[in-house]
Amino acid sequence: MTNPTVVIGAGVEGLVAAAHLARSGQRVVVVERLQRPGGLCAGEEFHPGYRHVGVWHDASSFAQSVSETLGLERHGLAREERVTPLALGPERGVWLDAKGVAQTGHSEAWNNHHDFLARITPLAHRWLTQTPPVLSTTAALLPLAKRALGLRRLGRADMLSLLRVGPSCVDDFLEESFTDPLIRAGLAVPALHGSWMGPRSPQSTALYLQRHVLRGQDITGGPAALVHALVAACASAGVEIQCDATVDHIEVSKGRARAVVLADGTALRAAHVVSTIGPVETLEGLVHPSHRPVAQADVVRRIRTRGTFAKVHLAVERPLTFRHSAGRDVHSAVVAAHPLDVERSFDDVKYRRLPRVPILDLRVPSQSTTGLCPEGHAVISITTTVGAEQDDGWTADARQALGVRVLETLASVTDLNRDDIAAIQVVTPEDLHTRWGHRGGHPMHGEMALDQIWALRPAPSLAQHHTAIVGLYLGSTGTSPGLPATGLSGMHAAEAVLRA
Amino acid sequence: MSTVYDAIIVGGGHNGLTCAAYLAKAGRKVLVLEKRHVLGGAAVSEEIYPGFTYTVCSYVVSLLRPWIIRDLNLARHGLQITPLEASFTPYPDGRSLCRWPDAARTRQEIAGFSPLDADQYPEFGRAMGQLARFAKAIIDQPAPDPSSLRPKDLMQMLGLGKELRGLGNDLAEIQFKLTTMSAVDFLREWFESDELIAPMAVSGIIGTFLGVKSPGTAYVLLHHYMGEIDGSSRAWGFAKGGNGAVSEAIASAARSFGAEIRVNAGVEQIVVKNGRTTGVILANGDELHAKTVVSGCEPRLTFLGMVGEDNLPGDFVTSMRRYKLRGSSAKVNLSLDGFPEFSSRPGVGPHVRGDVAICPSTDYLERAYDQAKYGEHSTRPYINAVFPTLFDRSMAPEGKHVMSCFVQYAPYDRQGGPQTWPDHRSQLGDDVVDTLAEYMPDIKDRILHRQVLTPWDLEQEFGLTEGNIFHGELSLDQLLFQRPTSGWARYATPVKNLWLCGSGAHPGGGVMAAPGALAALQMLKTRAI
Repeated sequence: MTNPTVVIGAGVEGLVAAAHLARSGQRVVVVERLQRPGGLCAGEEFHPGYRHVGVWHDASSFAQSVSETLGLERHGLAREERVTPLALGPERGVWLDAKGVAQTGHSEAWNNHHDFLARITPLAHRWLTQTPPVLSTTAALLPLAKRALGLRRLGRADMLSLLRVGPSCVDDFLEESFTDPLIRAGLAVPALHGSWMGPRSPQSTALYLQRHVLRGQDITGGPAALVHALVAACASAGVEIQCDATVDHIEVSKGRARAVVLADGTALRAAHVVSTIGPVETLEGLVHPSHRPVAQADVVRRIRTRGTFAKVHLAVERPLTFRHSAGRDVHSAVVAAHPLDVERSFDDVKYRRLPRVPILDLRVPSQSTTGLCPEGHAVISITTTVGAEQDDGWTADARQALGVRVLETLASVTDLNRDDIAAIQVVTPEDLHTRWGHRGGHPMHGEMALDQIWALRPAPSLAQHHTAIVGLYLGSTGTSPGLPATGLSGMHAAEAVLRA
Repeated sequence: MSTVYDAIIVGGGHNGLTCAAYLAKAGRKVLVLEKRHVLGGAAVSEEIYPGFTYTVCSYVVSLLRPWIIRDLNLARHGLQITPLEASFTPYPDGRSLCRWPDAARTRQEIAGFSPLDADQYPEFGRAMGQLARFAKAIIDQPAPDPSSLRPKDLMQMLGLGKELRGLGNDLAEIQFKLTTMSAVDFLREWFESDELIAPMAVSGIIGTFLGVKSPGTAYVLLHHYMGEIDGSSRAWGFAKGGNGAVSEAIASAARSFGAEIRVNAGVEQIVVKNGRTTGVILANGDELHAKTVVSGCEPRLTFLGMVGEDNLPGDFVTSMRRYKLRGSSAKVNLSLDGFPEFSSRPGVGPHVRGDVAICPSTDYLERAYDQAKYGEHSTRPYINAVFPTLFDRSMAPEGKHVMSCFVQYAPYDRQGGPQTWPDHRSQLGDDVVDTLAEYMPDIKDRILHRQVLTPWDLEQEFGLTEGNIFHGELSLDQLLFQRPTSGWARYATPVKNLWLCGSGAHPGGGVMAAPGALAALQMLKTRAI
């Protein structure tokens, strides 16, 4: 029997890669260090009787094409769009209607802004959902020329607009359409996740555009439901998933990956190895220095992975009432009144201290998914921006202080009462590193920045998912397109294996 | 009817004068109109305090294109440039770093902070030097236009593509990182010592409203390696007599070719009839006629201030309104009753015969930026100082000195509005002197006179809109084919016969004279004049 393809990591990308390879006729073994598959997208009981739907709680970027290729609907995957606020501040909120239009009386500006986005989306979507082209001085010119021509086909005006706004800061770009700071904050915050930027940082517009282009409808039940469907798809395709299996190293000889060796000494001979843990974690962590190609070692060393992501999960013994919601359900919301508040929060990242006033990107999964908590109770899932690097370190005090500050911000937009909180779980960047193995506490295995996206993610020589070691492929979110849970990185890595 | 000129140049800054010189040299009848009583715009030297000459705004020469110096024979017109001998950075803890033209000496200095960095430094310089050659290919020709399908434009794009390919993979990758990364992130790929990274990173933020950790700031690092004097790569220099002398030399060249130059002649309006310009109206009401008008002023002022919205297409007006100026810097000039010593390295040695940078750490620089983001000036700013009197004794009486301090950040749009700057001018001056005193304890006792130019003053006095010293932010979205806006990056404008020749045109700001020369050459080449 031929050796199987071994997939390292059973997160969304790993499961996608495994399912696709198995459905294409390969024998596939997935090894996962944790007890359960799902990585950051796995749901978990964080307090007896209360579950969250993923440390990364947004599965809206999961590619529809991947879902169709793998037939995930048959395994229970469903999508939905909900009416929910865009942003909430202490004074008021901005709501989106059923069509996703902000209800502020500025519908013309909203429409113009979204018309522009709609015009560039087909091209950008095509670029971002394919394996990126080779960008090097010896690269074939035809693919690049084709893309240049595609850009030109947008029409002169849109092409020039795209080139003008792409490198600009997202707040300037949004300000061209919106005077309302609440709208700007609400739109900017989700786009900045995974970056080392504030809304006043140049080039943040590129990230805003990328996220907009890749975003689709939410997945019913959140990332946890996505993982569930993927595990089912893997099972029906005959994938073997080994949990609680830590990889010690990848055995390389004569420039080729031969086996994945587990911590207990088991060597899994492999026809191919697809690593869906980060590029740095893979090439520095799992490959013996003597097997690392010299040129690539330098490239890998330079990949930036400074995390700015923390999570707070709340178990609340009654449903929260959000102010300025006029009785409507809140499924998700950004809590930040002004882009400058978001910028201040990034300042705190720069100076390696806790956010003075955290900004929140929250979900209320219990609002739409039953069974996450006792009837009449609530689970709140909150993403906040905080630097991995802290001058005072991630002490117990720091962890607690972060939780307290997040609660303070939440209290400014809800009727939250401390006595109603059954439990609070704080997931710090340090936890991302120690528990989930994410270098730098970065949820996407590499910062989102103009020099680390698309054909440059994680580096030009690694962007096509293969490495200088034959048979070793990279398929984590550390490769293009980079947003968590798109399924595209895993899919493209699998396709690279199938081409080999 | 009065004389009809071939070209009227609005603004007698160094670019307007350069443009005039090139046009006059080609035999055209040219008139330069300058609002102030003295030529040079922001490249000007003035005796503000009796006996002391300040190089009022800009103060060093780095990118002044050698081919322009040759074309206009500026040496014969009195231009004399002395290379700066060092880049000196003192730290609050009493240490200091001096980077010299001599590689071995620099290496020794850097080794005091990090032996690893000392090894990397020359290698970094070599890589940057090679890339600077590529960058020069860009600044010495009109901006390429990627949206055009005309064969000529495609050829230019192809030519640049070929240059880029010629760099080889490693350098091309560095080039890409340079255009996208922040100065600090980029330098951290090479160096470990923050004491070295900070003074290197600042060259990425001069004149911009960005921090050293803002993406896109790495690119300007190249400029430091593009500095040439008379064609040899010798970094930065000081013009004898200050930067006013640069303008004077160019004006003298222009006159020698027959250009007419008037001062105290501010242009109020650029006259447009049926979509074409016919001349200008001066502040005193006089109307002057010309076949072409060339504006050396900042684009927004030119179009929204002098041409008028009614004479322009709507989308062009929008793009001019969106054009980012956001001045971020101030200038402080000091007359000193003797040389103030640095406690970290006393004496009037060669270390001060260059530029002195107050930028002790990257966090310090970033904090300075953060204050500005929220509308305050930096209480501990980045200061780049030069002592002109060490290069030209005639700029102050015997034994006395002049100190020229570039100060960042001082945001034009400060809290309370830009018009409140006069109320904060002396506070800014005090903060600058207090900052300097932390490194030169005796400076306060030596100050005879202090001139503080806030961004508001730079706008009111020198016509630098929003106090932006480069006539527009040097950010990626406002450079190359987008300077000042896409479709109009080749000096022509939507108004027929009206051209741009200032720093708001490609390749941008700094005392390089390239926009003025390239505009004139483009006008001549396209037979617009």
